[in-house]
Amino acid sequence: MTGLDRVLLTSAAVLCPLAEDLAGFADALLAGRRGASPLTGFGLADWTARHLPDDPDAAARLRKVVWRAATPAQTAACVAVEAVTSANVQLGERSGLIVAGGNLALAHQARTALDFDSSPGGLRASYALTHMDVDVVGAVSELTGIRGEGWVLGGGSASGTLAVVQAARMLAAGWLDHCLVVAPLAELSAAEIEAFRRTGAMSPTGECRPFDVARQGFVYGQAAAAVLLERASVADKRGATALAEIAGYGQCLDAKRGTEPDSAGQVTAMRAALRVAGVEASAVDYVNAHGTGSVLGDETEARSISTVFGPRSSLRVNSTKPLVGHCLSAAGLIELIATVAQANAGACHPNPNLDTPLDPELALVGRSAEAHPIRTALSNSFAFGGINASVLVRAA
Amino acid sequence: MTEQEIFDVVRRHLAEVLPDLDTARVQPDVSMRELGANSIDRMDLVIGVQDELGITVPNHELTSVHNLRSLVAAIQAHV
Repeated sequence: MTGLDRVLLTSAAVLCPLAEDLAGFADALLAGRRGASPLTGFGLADWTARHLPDDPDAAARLRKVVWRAATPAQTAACVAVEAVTSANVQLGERSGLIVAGGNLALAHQARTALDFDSSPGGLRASYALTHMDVDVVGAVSELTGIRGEGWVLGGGSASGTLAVVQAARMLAAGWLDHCLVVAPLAELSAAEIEAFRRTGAMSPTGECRPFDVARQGFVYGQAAAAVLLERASVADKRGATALAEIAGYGQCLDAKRGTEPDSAGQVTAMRAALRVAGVEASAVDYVNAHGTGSVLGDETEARSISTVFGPRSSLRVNSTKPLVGHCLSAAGLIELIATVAQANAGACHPNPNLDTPLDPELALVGRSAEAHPIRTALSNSFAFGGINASVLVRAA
Repeated sequence: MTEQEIFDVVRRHLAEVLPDLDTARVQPDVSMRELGANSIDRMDLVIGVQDELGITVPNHELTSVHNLRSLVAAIQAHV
């Protein structure tokens, strides 16, 4: 990115069934703990009590702003506050906010519509706000003081990665000093879950087995995540410690509606990320695949990765989805954080359900964690609608 | 319903709408705004109370509401 400022990732926060802090998340991943499930038991009051015990004013503000918001906005507010607090940075007019996802509060919408049908008098005025994705923009900006620019970026299962791409572009171009990227928990109602099941894309066994010959589909997971990205010159000036650098990014469309992946688009996105970073494929140590565990999706991505990297024993290919599930629009962000966590640990987390790899030439991480130096890593997200996105991360 | 019974319903709905509500401050002379309720919170509270009591208070009767006492009186006219 000659002539442009470098983009650093200086803070990250997660909220998922495996963990609700970064260190716990890294430990759970490396231990291969399985948390591909809904986030049950989340409560705003409990979360603030656990995370902000020494700052009662911040805890009260968080509760006040999103007390009656839908779960996506509540979880987004929590991870946003956590990321900004741990970054210890003042955000304002030179700071931006991108909320990743679209149709975030589907369960809330379905519940409200059913209640309205049976009891119209009880419909709350606040539903005018809580049904909208942009409610998250309002809530998070109020809690973080971000005043630059902010919006919702929808790209299906690639939303989290696309949001990081857009944030990195704005920072590299000098439009902003900081950009907070937040992926709220993406909730589905029973109807969407059943529709996904009927497409055949969802695992009937509830087991996610990316790149295994016996894979049967994805498992729905729930997570919220946030990262703070900063221009390197700004981060250096305030003495911030980087967790990683966002060194490259690529995105493209297949120009094709539907659910089927296209290897050509995936290859284009990955190669674009390498090109932007000025990195040869041979320099990449690790690929965090989209790897949902779907029959066609994994086969296609395996072929795409082989096309870009060839057979290389020093590469490791992995999927975080057996551990966190497919978190839909939050997948790209939670998996970027998983990639950074593995790079900083110098190890790959297990792919615990892998018995028989679909492609013996693909350098997949197996059922155990593995020490592996990661200086340069790629994180992929591919969405329905032919949306391909890939981010290249350089270890700090 | 007595004034006190209606007041108790209002208090319960206030506690649902507002986190960290100091119930000692919920007195007839205080306004919802003073308790921290914004305009949407106030609408939601009135809707919730009406729904529970099975009544409808016309909007123009709510415009003169300036504290919990006058809110309770506006509601009591319809129960």
